[in-house]
Amino acid sequence: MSERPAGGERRRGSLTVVGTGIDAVSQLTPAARGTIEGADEVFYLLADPVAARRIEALKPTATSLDHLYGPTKERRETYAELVETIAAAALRGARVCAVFYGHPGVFARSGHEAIERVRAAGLPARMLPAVSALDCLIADLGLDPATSGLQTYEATYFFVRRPPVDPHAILVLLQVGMLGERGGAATESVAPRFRLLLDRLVEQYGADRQAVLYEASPYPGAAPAVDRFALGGGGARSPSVMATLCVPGERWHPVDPEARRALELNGR
Amino acid sequence: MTAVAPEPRLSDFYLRLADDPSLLEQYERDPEAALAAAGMTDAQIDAVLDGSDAVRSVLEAELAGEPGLRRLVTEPRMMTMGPPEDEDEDEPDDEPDDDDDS
Repeated sequence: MSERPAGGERRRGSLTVVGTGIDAVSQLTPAARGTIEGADEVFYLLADPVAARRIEALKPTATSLDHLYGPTKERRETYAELVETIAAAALRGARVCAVFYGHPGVFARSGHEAIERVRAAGLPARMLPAVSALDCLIADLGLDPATSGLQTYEATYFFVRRPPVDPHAILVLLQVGMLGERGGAATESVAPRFRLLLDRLVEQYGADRQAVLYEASPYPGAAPAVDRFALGGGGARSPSVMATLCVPGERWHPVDPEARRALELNGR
Repeated sequence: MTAVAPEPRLSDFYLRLADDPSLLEQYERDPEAALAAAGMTDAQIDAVLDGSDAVRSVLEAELAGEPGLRRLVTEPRMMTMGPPEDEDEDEPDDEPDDDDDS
């Protein structure tokens, strides 16, 4: 799985998957930047034009993968093509860098699969961590998962598969703006589906429970979008494509006296 | 006749921030002053102060007018989806096989 360049030296391909963070201006790490600049081939999939300009400034030959998406094209097909495009370049012998927005491995499956594909061919592949939308949410909303726990799901998965909900823990549902969508773009059906999701949450939390529709800012100095509303109050706007729904946790879990005794925490 | 200077691009300013930590620090401390010092228009400054949706609108408008850059304005794309909604891989199979005689 290597190619012999004109000089006769055999080259081994490799893959590094990096993220820009949500704000590519101030959150791109030095390690990610160095990888982009040093790669033979750079592929990117980003959510805003400033991030794309930044990557192309660092690597003028970088190639966007956005053309693999289509409004009605099944995203599963797109994801398979993303993996194939990225992995094939490494298998041809190139040092490849794949750049995704946010954290490249959080709610982003293609990077993981491309790494698996390249490693299966005996070539080195790794992922560098980055700032995710969840990290931004925690910072902007002042929440700490350590207080009472954190549950996070992809919105369609949550709605269809009904995982158990812990009302004490923070609940974060990503991709609510693409609820039920299989294609590359949101349709008008998302708004009524989102109301169904809210109805479901009202059953679990009650109508008065406060929730937040949140969208991290991809630009330094610009405020995030934060809309607070009661789940059953009818005041929720329709979510944008990049919106995240958060139901903050409420009160701590009750203490199990036997467990407390087992850890000898009594009297402390 | 005096030539009119082109309106500065907000996206150019952001790229400067990415490579200039002291300018970024100055901007984070007082975005309005840093934007004004960089020659941004009132509309651009207002957009930044208004929030990310307004910034995106300004960026899309300025890049749409640039033939070499308008290709960078794309829809935000999702990068994952759950397993198929009609599949349940972990569902235990309680039905005995037809050819199981035991």
